[in-house]
Amino acid sequence: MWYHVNPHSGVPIYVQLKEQIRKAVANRQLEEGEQLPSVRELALQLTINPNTVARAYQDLEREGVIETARGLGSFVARRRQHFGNAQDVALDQALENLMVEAYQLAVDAGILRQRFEAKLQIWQERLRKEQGE
Amino acid sequence: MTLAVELIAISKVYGRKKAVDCLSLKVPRGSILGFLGPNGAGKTTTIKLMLGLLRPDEGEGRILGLDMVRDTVGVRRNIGYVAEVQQMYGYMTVQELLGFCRPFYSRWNEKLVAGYLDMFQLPLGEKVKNLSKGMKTQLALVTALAPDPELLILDEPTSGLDPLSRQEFLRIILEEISVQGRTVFFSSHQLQDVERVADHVAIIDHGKLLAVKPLDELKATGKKIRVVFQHEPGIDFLSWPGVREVNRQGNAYLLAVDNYLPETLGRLQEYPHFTLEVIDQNLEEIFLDKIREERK
Repeated sequence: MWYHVNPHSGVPIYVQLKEQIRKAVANRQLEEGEQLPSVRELALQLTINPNTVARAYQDLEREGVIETARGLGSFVARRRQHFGNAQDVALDQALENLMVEAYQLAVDAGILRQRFEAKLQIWQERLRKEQGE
Repeated sequence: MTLAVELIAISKVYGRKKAVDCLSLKVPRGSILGFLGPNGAGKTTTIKLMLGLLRPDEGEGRILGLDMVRDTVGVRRNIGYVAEVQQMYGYMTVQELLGFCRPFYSRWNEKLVAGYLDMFQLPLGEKVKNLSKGMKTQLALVTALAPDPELLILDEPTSGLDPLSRQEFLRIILEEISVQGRTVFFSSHQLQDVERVADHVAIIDHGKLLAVKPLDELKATGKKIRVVFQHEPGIDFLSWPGVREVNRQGNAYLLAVDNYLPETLGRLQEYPHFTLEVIDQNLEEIFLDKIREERK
């Protein structure tokens, strides 16, 4: 996994890192149970503050994306079936962003529904294929 | 939260000029604080006060729990300091300089010194005055780190270094910090360096503190909203909570928002508009904004 951040952006570095890891987990660049670099390793690799990395990891842990075993390190968590409150809030936010984008792009509800269905299908197929392997 | 630095309303006056003006500042242990300000803002004076090289005219401070004015010796023993202008004895060789510094400290990490001398490839027999600017900075860093200081104070450490040496310098700072839980107080004009490694930022101008915040919080709160209305809404946006500044060009508005960003966006949604977007601000933009506002 190739991590990178842009410190000179208005988006806090810990947010950039979080998004990157979440995306990597979602598209299986990072697999369930895979170990993440330690806070110190990643901080030195990216030349950023260790507290920043620690904060990203803490958030990801709270959201259930990764798990930290004391003394052993951080690992990509097994995907949960049940929805916790944090996931619920995060999903709602993501949907909200989608709606705002769609509104700005003047996409009407019919097209939005169609595209959503199509995208969902692609993802499900991809997941099925990987689980079949 | 224990504090590495706590300054309480310190002032320093030169003639009629207040170099430092009732400045209060807290730096938690284990953090890296970026200390920002334009030239002549009072950064170096503040640092000299912290080091006990100057006495404050008013106010007090504690460095690593020790009284900044009464216990300057105790303070200096636990601080590593890299000055803006390297005032090292140019006639000494690298080896002689290290030997000269060593007896001043009860702790002196020989292994660390050897490691960095090797890493930087510093010529031990060369006279200090013949070293390049980058090498002088590296040597100063070695002498600052050698006594295993709990607090590292760096005054414009990366100015004049090429990008490669700068990156190396920052990495060493991070390495030392992450391992030991030390604190770094770091004044700089190189905002991109500060953005990389600092977790807290303090901004000063004319000797006054304008802001001190975790960097992430500064970025998360200092946003702008650009909105283009379909027709003039006729609202006094400055009366809205959280809106700090309003710029207008016809139907296009640029609002600087410090707080209540989602609420403000929600309210704006209700007026017919063509575009409504949030603009992220990087450290440089936030910095310039704060200074401009102060000087208005």
